[in-house]
Amino acid sequence: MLNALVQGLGSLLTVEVGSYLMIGVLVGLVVGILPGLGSPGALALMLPFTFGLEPVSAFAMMLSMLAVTSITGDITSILIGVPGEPSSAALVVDGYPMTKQGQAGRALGASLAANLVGAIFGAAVLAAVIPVVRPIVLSLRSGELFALTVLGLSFLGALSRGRTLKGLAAGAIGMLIATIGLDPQTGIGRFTFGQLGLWDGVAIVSVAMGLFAIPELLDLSLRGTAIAERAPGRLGGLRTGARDVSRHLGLTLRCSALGAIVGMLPGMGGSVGQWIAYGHAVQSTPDKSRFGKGAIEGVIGPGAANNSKEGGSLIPTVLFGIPGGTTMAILLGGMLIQGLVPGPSMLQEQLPLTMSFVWVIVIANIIGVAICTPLIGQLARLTTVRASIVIPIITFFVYLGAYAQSRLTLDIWLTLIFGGIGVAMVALDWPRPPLMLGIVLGELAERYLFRAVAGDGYNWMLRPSVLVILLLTLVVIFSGVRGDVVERRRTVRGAGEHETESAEARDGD
Amino acid sequence: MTARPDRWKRGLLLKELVPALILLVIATWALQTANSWPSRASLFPRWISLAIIVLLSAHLLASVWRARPAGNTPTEPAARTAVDISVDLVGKLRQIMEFTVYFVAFGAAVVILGLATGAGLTSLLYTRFVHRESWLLSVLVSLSMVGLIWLLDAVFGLRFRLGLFY
Repeated sequence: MLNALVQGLGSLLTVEVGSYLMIGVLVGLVVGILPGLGSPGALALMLPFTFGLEPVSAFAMMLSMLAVTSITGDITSILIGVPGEPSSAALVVDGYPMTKQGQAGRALGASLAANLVGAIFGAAVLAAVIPVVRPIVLSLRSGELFALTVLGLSFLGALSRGRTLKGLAAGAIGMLIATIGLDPQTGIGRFTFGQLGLWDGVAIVSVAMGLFAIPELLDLSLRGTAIAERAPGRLGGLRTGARDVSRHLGLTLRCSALGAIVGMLPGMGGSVGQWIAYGHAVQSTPDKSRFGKGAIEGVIGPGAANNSKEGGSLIPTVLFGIPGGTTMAILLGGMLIQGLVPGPSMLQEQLPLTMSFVWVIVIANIIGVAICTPLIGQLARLTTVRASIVIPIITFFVYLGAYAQSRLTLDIWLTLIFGGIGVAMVALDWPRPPLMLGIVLGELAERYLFRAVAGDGYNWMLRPSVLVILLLTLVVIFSGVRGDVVERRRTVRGAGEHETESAEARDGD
Repeated sequence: MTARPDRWKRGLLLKELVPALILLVIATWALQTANSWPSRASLFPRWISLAIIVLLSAHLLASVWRARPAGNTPTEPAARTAVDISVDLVGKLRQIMEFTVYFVAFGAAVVILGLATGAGLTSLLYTRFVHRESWLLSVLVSLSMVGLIWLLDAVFGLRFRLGLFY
């Protein structure tokens, strides 16, 4: 295991891999600071550039991009009160008041230092968990792996808050879309409509860009302006902020642990982790009255949790094929493009590659923080870039990505079709990640199901381990539906009380 | 006063029912099509089509149940004037149309003229005429895109599309 860890580090120490890691870091820093473009859309745009790369280079680029987006996402939260990434929203509560008090530099210093500690902690958790989980993953057979793909899909579907049935249906529709193409067993064309271009199935890149990049682009186009009118001035006090983190090292480590644990839970993701960390920071600080008015602990807690989540969320994604959220679902698509299959093979033949993920997170964050510290003021100027300049560039990347994989015009039209589907899903309140995950996992699920049925008929369903996973799937679905019902009742009750209060107020008038 | 919530519920019901019914028809068609294939090829699509039909039926029933006459409406929007809504709607629709035309034109230009020429030309027109930026900035954006294409070709070795006329 230690050998694989060293091999993983060694595989990154080449000029080629290092260059791709650097590209990923730079893209991630820019993406994080532009609120119009989130990490799922940026990751989708990045997929086409990974086709010709070795897996280690491809993952160095994709993972380093993901690892650093929250660093600069925090910058806009602190400086202008607009989160660059959804996972940086909690930083607004205390970071922005600190800026108003003239302590922007201190808040940014604390955020950068907490980010770095959090990232190293998350990577260490990933490295520590792999040897523990390895024997379990290696004992899994096709039946269990099929049940796990269904469980993964149920997690993402059931945790689409308030839309469980839609989420599950979207996941199943994704799996049906994944069957488009030549059947691997019989060679029969399925749902190809006579199009040769569909024989290899629907390109994951077209789906990812259509579902995530195009709706974001439309949203950016509708907002139409830069997020900040003026760039912030000179920022001092970064060192004081870094010293604050060392003074509150216990809080930083506890919040890092919270971020990593929440990252491991499918469907929770960084958006939840940062708020749990913020809540912990409030609870564990004696003087609670400072929170919301510029408490440094309110910056350190979410800052640490933000970056420790990546290490945690890679665990279910890489080891079981159960992605924790949207970005991990797209990353899973990137794994399949590279010919990698999550699960046992990632812990046998690809163990050094899996271990290189740990190092990518650490190195990317060190580079990211090193770049941000002297250039933080200049990076903040990116918030003044107008939509009229950003939109054509992103559009170009969408079409480039659509075309780069197969060089077929059909893929351009498929991207447009999935773009329309993505926009419709947003408008009609259907969750998009389960659809993406269904398409990504569909091929694997079919392969596992076929092998399980071919080897053991339907008896595999009666194996205790399969029964446990299927039971867990039912519990996840049931709790999701129950959560929807409870939430709806609460909303209805709230609306009823509001109506009664309004009626009483009207009567009083 | 009761007319508005009912109308809102009908709208909500339509928003939920129409997409679900369309998807239900597609899933039924997929199931029927899969049944005509050999069992090895149809096993997975049949399972999945059936799962979709069950889930969508449950979703339809739940939507109809939620929109029944009794009870309150949870997501009724705050009262706004008709003028506010129509101004918002017209403005947004115009922006959506502009974006759609631009986006499809970008794709068509890439297919017909090739990536570099198509992307450069569409970006120039979009930046200048939709966002009304200066000619200088529009040309700079357009040229930087062509430069980016050259750079990506050099770094990643992507062979770009040359268009129908080459």
